[in-house]
Amino acid sequence: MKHLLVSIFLMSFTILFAQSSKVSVQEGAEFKESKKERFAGIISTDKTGYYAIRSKKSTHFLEHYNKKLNKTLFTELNLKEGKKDKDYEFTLSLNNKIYVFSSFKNQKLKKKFLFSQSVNKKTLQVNNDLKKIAEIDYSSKSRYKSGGFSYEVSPDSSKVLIHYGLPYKKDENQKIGFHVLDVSTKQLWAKKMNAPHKSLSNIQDYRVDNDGNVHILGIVYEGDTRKYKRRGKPNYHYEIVSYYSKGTTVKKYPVKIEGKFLTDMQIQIGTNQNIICAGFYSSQGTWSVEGTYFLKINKNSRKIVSKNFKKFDIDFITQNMSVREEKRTKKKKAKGKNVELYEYDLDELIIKPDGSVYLIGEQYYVRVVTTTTTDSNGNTRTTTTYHYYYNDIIVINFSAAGEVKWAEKILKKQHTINDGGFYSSYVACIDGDNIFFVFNDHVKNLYENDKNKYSYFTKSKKSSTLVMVEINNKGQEKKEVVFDAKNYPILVRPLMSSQVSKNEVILLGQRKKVNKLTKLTFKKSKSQTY
Amino acid sequence: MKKLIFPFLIFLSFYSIKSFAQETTPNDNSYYFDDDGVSEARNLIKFNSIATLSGEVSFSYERILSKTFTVEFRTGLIMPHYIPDYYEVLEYSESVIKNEGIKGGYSIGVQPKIYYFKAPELAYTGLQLRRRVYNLETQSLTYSDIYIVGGIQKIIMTRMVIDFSTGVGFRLKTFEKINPNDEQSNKELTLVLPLALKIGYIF
Repeated sequence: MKHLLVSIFLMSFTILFAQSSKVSVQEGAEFKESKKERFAGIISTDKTGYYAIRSKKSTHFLEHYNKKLNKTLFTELNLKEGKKDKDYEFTLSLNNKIYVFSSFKNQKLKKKFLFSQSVNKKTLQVNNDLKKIAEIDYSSKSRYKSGGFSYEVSPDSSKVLIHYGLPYKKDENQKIGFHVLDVSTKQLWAKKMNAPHKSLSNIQDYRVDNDGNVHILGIVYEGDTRKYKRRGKPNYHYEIVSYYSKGTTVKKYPVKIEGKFLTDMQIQIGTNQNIICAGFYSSQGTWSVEGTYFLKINKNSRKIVSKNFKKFDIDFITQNMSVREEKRTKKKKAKGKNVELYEYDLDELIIKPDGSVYLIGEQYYVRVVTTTTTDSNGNTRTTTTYHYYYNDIIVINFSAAGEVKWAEKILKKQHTINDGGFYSSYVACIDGDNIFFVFNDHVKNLYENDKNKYSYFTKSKKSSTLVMVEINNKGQEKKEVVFDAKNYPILVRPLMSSQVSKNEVILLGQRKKVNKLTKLTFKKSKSQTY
Repeated sequence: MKKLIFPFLIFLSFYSIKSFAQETTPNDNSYYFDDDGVSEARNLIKFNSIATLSGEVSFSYERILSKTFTVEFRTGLIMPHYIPDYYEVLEYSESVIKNEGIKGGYSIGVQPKIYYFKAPELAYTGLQLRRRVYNLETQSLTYSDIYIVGGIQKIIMTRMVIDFSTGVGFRLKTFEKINPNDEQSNKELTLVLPLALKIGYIF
């Protein structure tokens, strides 16, 4: 009887949670794909539906899904040029057109060429409009070290930056190449150059603004050695190098906090085309986080107009910690020792239309366990297990002026084994003033108020549920169930899901060979406060 | 004369149109793909340098059949002098084969290979079936090998190929009995750990 009552109580909770008021769910039909095929994400949307890329080793498929999320067409990309095979690089959606970028290594010329081709949306095949975009001369290197092409798109999608590393001699500065293209992949300007100084290496981020100016973020080592730490102090700083006026004007902006380690940094083009740079810093080293850093460069004056850093307070650091952990951390703090957050990675820097910024990080680490067992016959067996942990998400909201408005930590526990975190992590979506995080959770956590008893999501279908955490403009969070995995044939892969419109997210669900797309539409909140 | 000038002018006009077209065609991408057929090459011939140490002059031919699948055929001549395989030295020092007794022989083999990325480059896995027949002074000896191979193949200097592989498998040694009444088995199963370094040419 007692068990029955508990069950009824739990069920009522589940039903209560299942009735999400903030999001509507639209499911597509299930379809089967080979396990070897890898869904690479939605690349474009239009009035007919969604376009996606799927890959299987060196073969790539373009797919079309209608508005009901059912697959209507798929085709293998034909990247042959006569009898020669080009290699697939990436696909871009520009001005409602899809472009496939491919490359060819010419062994005779010792050059690697990058080409673009538009796609016929009716047949999903590439058109006969092959255009050379860029080239890498690898005559001084092996063809296997010829490097690769990458891209960035400007915030208004009007410019594309193609960038690549070029071979360079040991005593030279790092060599890089840029090509800035318009929406029809016509080249606006291009430049091949050596990095501004030798110590600038390890380029972390590239951005192109709406005017076609290029900004790069790199690490500059201060000493002779390429080590982060020297005599306990940081031996590096970050630097933003901006190429204005088609690369004719170069400006350098050092990003540095004296005596602190900048652990993770990203740049983004903000409203009014200002450059926003934000990240984390630490007092101890490069693997922990003590606080957050913000820097803004004005587009017109090309000067740093805002520069702030803020240490996380003890309440934020201990938020979501178990009672024991919290006690230990507070004791450490009371002794005057430094307390920091560990294993956090900076994931995204999202700019809101009002100029404020969201900085999003996630605790992620891998634990490798090797066990050796000997059976009764004396045979020894060694097995290595990889444990993937994707835990709490931190969200820091900066005002347009660069002040920290609020910082929030979303409680999330995900632990899977030997799968690379296939179903772990989250997908973030901005809708107006609110930010939503969608991720897989353990069903028990829906009615568990005690943080110490929080359970890990372990990809078990029986105990999994898809949840959504909404954070409003005041930093207050609210958690809701999107759907219960028990009643759903697949589990969602958040890392393969993406925001496709202002208030819509397409989720990819997968379980063995079964695939399914699901669309979440966020509804406007009646009130912004909870 | 007029009769001659007119066709000449027509020829000139055609010629100039053709020349202009060649110079200004922006969509002619043939330059980027002209690599003297290297990327279209589907055949490789290779010489196994390590096999010479074990007394075999071995050549192989690899044919690309699909994006990731190839088949390699090998053949070799066994020379009178050789260094025994290192695992034979370790485990079978009392092997029936002695350097002084060998008169020659031959080897043949086939190996289907699957490349992880795109044939015939970089990492691959294959299954090697190989037969070596030794003609000894007093008897004949046959090695029948089956082993799984993992390797890496690279194209360097436009058409030169380097292929390094290693693996593990079994070898069935079958030798002709000198005395037919000998009760001892003429078959022996051993472990085999092949190692190959091949240098070749792609065409």
